[in-house]
Amino acid sequence: MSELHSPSDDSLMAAYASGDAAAFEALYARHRGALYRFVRRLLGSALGAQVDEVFQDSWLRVVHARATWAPQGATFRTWLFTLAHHRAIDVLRRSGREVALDALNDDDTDEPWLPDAPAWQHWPAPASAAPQADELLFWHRAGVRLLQCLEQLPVAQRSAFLLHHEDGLGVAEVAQALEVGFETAKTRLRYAISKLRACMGAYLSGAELT
Amino acid sequence: MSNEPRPPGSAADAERDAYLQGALRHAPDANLAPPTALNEAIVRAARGAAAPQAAARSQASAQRYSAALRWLAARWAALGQPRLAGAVAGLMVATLAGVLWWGEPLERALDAPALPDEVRSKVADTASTAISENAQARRTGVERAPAEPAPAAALAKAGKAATAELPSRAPAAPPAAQRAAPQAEAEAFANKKPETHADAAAPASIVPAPAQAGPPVAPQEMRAESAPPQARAAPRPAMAQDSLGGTADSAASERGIGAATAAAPTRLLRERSAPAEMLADLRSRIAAQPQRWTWRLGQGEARAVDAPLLDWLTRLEAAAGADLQDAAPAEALANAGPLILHLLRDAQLRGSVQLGPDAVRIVVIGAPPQARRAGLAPHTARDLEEELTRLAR
Repeated sequence: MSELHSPSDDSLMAAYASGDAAAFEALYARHRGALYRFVRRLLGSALGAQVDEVFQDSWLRVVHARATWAPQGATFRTWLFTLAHHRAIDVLRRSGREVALDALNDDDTDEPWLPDAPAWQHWPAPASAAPQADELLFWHRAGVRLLQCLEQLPVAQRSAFLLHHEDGLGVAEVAQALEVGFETAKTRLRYAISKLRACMGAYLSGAELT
Repeated sequence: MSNEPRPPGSAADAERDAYLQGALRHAPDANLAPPTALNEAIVRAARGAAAPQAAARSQASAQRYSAALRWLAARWAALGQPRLAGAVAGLMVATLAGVLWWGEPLERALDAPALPDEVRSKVADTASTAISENAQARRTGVERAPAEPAPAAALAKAGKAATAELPSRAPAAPPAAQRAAPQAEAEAFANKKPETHADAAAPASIVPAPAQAGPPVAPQEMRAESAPPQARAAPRPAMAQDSLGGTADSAASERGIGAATAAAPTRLLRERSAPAEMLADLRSRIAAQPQRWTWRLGQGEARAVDAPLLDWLTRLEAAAGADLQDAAPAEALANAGPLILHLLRDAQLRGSVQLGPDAVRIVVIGAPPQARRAGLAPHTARDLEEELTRLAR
């Protein structure tokens, strides 16, 4: 409820552009956690040391662009994740780990995507009567597994999935953040989900869960 | 968002997968946050970048403030010019006069009785003569005899003479007479001042008017000083009648319209300067027409006014009459009991007496309403209360 009365990102950014440092601090406090996780998951564990650099550089770009920034059809949050995405791609390119940004050409083949780990056997039912502690343990293990699966995804699909599932952006906003077309973003997202489900095991199929 | 998992490749792939989202939410890095040092570095950089703009903004604000100060200083300096200062002072005086007139009820001026032109002219002439004589007498150092009070007595005299030529029904004073009342009052005040003030008075413009008419009156102390001794000591023939909302009934006819008109310049003075007489006026009015008056205690039944009640009022007058002072109309007695005597004339509430443990408050509903308050000895208040309660049984 309190968020309804808090100033919007756009107004905070406008206030910061006019010299109000407190507005930036509010903006930073609002988005720092999500952006930091996005960068961390996008770069993966291998480039974990670069997370702080990408994160800081993204915010410094916000600082430097404060005078020229204007909401042009995209929210501040989308713009912020776009900046971070660009910086992360730069780091991945420098490291030689990123193969191609056009994941559709390289990854969207008809061959099945096989995870390198055995599928889990213990997905709980949605209405599980298991004790809460057991559920928490299960989801924690699922989270660990998902991070491993994410690192096996192409960066384009990984970023689409993270923006969509973690940061709550819609498909259109994902397309804006990744600077691709709507259908492209949707396709990347679809492939990412498909591969992650396969990676997480065959227990995600509706037949086994019902 | 659906909690049901979707098969890969279905049309619902764009929707969020609840299982994947749940796993993402419980991932080990779900609560990952940037280090504190990194936070501080970023915020510091942001503050540093915004500092020049903040300084420029505060400087612009200061410039606007100083510009406003300079503008005010220029206007203040311009006020030093006599022509502009005079204009501003005139505007302020006009505004002050307007504000003073603002709260004056309009009906007070409209409801005042009117006089025919012939009476008005005669009264005006006589009043002018009396004022001129008074001023002349003061100028020459000759004291006027107490039996010939001026200008009030002269005005009364003129009024009576004019009344003799009128029909028996008492007419009302014209609005012009009402407007002239403050001028006559000012004349009375001017008579106490040195000769130059008396000379400055314009007798031709003075026409007496009823007490209800007139602008906001001067403070009570000044009015008491300005009133001639004769006026202050004069009996109150018509004031109680008017203040009680009565018309020109038989009592007023006996006194004559002359008394009502002639006493007009001093009527307000007497009304406001002699609060102690209010209770006596009220009692005399009741005694004059007891058949029209009733009374009741609190919300009790109404009773006809009789001799015991008049005696009680006499006792109250003796106990508190001399100490009655102005009280706010809405003021209530502190610790006052439920004993409130209501006095009604022709079934219309005309006054009330509220007895407290050590004070009494009397309200007379007229034009204008009057509220007076007086302290009472506790035993006297108790005796009065017991007596009144006994009368109500």
